[in-house]
Amino acid sequence: MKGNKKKNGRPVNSFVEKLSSVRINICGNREVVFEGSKGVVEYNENSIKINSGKYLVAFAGRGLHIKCMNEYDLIIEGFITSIEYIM
Amino acid sequence: MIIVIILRWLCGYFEFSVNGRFPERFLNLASRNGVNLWNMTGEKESIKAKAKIVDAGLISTFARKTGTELTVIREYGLPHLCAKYKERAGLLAGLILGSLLCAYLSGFVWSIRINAPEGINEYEIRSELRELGLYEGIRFDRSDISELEMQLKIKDKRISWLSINEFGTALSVEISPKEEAEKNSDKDKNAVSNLKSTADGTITKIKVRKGKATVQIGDGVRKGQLLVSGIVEYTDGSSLLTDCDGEIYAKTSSSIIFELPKNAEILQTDENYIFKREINILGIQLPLSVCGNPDGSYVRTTHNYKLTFGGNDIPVGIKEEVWQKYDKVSADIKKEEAEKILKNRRKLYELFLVGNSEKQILERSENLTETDDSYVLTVNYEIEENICEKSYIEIKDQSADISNSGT
Repeated sequence: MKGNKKKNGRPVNSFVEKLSSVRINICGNREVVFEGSKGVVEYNENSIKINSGKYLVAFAGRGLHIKCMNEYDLIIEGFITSIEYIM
Repeated sequence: MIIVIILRWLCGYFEFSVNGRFPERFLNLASRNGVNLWNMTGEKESIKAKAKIVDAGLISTFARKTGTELTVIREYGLPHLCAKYKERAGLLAGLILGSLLCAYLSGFVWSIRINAPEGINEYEIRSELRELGLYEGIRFDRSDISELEMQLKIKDKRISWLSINEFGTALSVEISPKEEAEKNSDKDKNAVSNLKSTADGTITKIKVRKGKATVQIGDGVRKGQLLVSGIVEYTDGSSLLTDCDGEIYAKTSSSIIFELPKNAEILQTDENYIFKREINILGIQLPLSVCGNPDGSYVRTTHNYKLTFGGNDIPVGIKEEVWQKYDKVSADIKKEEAEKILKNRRKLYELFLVGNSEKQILERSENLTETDDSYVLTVNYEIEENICEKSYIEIKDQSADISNSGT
């Protein structure tokens, strides 16, 4: 099937990946639901940088952690003080 | 979320940390290969996370590939518990035995709560239930409930309706008493009755709901005199037969004599008493005191204390008994003492007399006299009381008699 062509040895079946877009839901400054991740670039309690393909999204704050993650989506929790897009 | 937590616990999971120069690479590799990680906390060159036990092999491979050091911090969940207690077979045996014991004991009745209405003693119902084979600590077949309800209803005529409800191992008995009118339901609903006087007196108050009053306020009446007639005659010549209902109050006179011998045998309490205690566990009574039942004249006072949890009775309780010894002592009673004793008896008599709300003492006169061997207190009362007594009239159907005699 066309939709199941392999890319870098993994199936391309995500709706988000097909559209190659990023969707970020921010709940106050405590939680972020990030859809369309292509990997974590940096991860510590003060900064989390996510690769979205065309740019990096950097979350800065205190006590940041990834609550859960799968191949394309992740949830970040903590006290977020800034969000930066790095082209 | 609760379901997710339960599923994770059932499947088993572990907490680990990966240390190295780029632990993010480990995260990306794990997530791209479908390994779910949660509760990740990151520090410099170190990440802590949790994952399912089934993914342990993959996680170990990814750690090796990314050049990070994997450390398992702690394991959680059912598989971990099973592995931990695999050597301790006693625990498993205890669990099975405990479950079996729970299942067996839940077939017993551990508490019976009786909601007895006014006029029906809870103790009497408990005794009747015991006679019928239902008491605390008995193994009980649920299918017998309806038969038990019927038997108890037949046994105790005061009960109009009752229900035995189950709440696990506790039973609740709800009782509804027979109303006065229901008690008389044996009588024909179309019965005709008169109200007659039960004592001599002077009428003070008349309340007639059904029937025709034949007396007026101020009239003097004798015992057995008709007060309210069940045959009501109308001006058009017709008449109605009815079951009379009402109250007629009259001022009546009565006297009572209280007598006390001068040399009497009185019961005197001894200072010695025996205190006994029993513990009741699951219907088995175990004595906590070593003394047996004493001989002689004793008065036994019993207190039952039951443990409750969350408003429900637990089949564990303590019974305390106090055995107070009484001795018969022969004593000469002085006049002052006799007066005191006789007045106490009079007060007790009045308490029961006025306990009936339909009676009221209007006037009292008392006289204490002395004979050769006793003291006599004579009390004369003027009482206002309801003097009505129902008297049924038997009516024979003459037409039926005629037809019967004709055939």
